[in-house]
Amino acid sequence: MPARTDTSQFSTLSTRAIAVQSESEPKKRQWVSRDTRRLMLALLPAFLVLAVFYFYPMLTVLVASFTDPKPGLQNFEWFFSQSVNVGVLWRTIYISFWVMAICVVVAYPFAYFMTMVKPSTRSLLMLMVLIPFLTSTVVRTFAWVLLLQDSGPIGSFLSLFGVESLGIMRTPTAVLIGMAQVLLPFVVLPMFSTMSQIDRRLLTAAESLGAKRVKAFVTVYLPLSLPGVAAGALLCFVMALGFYITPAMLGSSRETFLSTLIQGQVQGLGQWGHGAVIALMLLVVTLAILGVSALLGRARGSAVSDMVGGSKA
Amino acid sequence: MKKLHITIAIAAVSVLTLAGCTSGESAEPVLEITEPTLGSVPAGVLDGHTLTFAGDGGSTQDGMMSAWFNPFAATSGATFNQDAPQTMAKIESQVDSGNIQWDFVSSYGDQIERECGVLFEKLDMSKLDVSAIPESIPLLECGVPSIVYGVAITYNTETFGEDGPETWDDFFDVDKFPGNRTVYNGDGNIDAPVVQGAAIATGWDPSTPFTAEWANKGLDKIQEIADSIVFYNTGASAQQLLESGEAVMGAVWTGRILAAEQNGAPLATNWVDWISVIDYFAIVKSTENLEAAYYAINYALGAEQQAGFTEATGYSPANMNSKPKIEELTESYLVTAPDKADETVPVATEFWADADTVSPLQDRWSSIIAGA
Repeated sequence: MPARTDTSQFSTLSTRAIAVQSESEPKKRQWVSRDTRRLMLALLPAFLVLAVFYFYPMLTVLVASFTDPKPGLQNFEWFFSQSVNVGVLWRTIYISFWVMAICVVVAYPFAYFMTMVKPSTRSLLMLMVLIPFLTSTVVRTFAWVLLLQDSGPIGSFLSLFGVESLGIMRTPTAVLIGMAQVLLPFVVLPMFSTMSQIDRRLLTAAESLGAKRVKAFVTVYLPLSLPGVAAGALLCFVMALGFYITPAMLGSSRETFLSTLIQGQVQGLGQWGHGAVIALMLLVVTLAILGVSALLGRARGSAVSDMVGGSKA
Repeated sequence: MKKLHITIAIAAVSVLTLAGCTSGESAEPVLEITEPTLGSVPAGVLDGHTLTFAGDGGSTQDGMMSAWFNPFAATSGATFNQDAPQTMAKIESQVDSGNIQWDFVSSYGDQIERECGVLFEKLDMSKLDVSAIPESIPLLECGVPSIVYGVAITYNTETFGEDGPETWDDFFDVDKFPGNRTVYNGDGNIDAPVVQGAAIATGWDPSTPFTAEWANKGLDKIQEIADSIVFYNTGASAQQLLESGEAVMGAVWTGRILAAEQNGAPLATNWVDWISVIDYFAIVKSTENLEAAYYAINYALGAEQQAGFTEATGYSPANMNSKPKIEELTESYLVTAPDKADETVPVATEFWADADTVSPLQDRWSSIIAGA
């Protein structure tokens, strides 16, 4: 029953409340009530689509990594014998991590600010997040190419001050800027949704009990906002791992992501088996990260939800 | 509400009718070619037939369409579709699944040679008139020339004046000529011209056979100066790197150097040991439109058509009788000119077509490109 494992996993990420439920449910013998059964029926179309367009292709990739061009482990041997594969895998994880860190640092004050301002300003801020969100990644990345290239507006402006060449294009910096901008909405939105549910009177209470503002924020507000931070960060990190077009356009070949290697093996060389094994490795790493965070979230999340009490829904 | 239903019904009916039209295309077999006339196709011979070509896209494919395939479609009556970029993986999956979407392609000689008879049809040369193809352009069992070009060393004259890199030795000498140089990343594939150029820099004599040993020495050379290389992955990006001055020199496709120079980039090009490259037309194995593909290729190779392509792209005509109307600058980039032919090093197609030899080199290339 793969569908169920999947739902529980994603719910853990998104809503604490469901996570708590699904944790307790499997222990009961009769966990599928009539209502749940009806709900499952409503989910059926989604599962069918996933099965046909996601699980089946994934399965063929899994099979191909063991059988293409002949059955055996030669693709795995190839993967680990080529330092480039492992090197690029680490690079992918490393850059994705930094993208996540940048996104969290930028998104946290932004989301916090959104909860503080009056509704009209909030809508404006929300619009600022959503408009780029609705624009194609390719278009946004290309805009960064135009902005960051030496002959672009930033470069021309700095040349007035004697800076000869901006030199950002085709560097890790360019990739970080571009990816962070593309992924920022995915971090802002969950953070905002968590923060907007935090009862600000808790801060007042802490201060009335003698805590300084900073202390009240760090000991009360910050822990309460962590589930949102975790959800946003995780979403950002996992999505970053699969990035293709942004690193390819903004970075040099030395910022190549794993997805570019897959493309090279499959499209350029027709090596489906090699492509499949790289894809499988990326999937394994992603699942491992999701698994570890789910465990961490469960361990810490319960503590947090105990503290939050009523506001967890 | 009722109105909506009617609209939907009409939409559904028209979709079905359209589907019916397209599936009933191959009603009549195409008239078989017996005596091909170069550069012409019988009027209306492909009425009701559809033909699909896949190339590498970009301004080159635009030139192919305007000079070759749009007029071909107009005369023959065929519905002509184009697609890009062609890749071996897609051709392989089409042939394997039996669902052929591309009838013929333009691709690298070594790849076509490697997959000849497997992914590509062995050509029946009696259906093509190849008499006007210059002798300097070899024909393949599965391919006839589609793009005749080369990889030459070009440099920025604002940076180096008149004393820029002249030879492959200079090109790979970062002490003598510092700065970024741009080189093709092969889009995943090991790039034969660049590796051969690098091998020349390490002492390979182009009059002797190219071997894996030389290829490895070439790769060593590329790896050595990798920090000074900006890899391009499309012709457009090569052109942009040269025009913006981000790369002060490059081993670039001749048509793109020309285009950059036409756009005002201060460039000078050296033709010592330039690598001549030929892309080939190949017909995808077991396509239903075999005969139609022969018609299209035979048409494209005509003198007038080849001249039109040269005028559009700056790449050289594959027909001895072509008289393209071009300015002096474009003429200086025609690789079929006799003065160029003396200095050229052809891509060692036979060497690169050997999959077993190339495989380990390919892995090294991927690793150098990715900088890992």
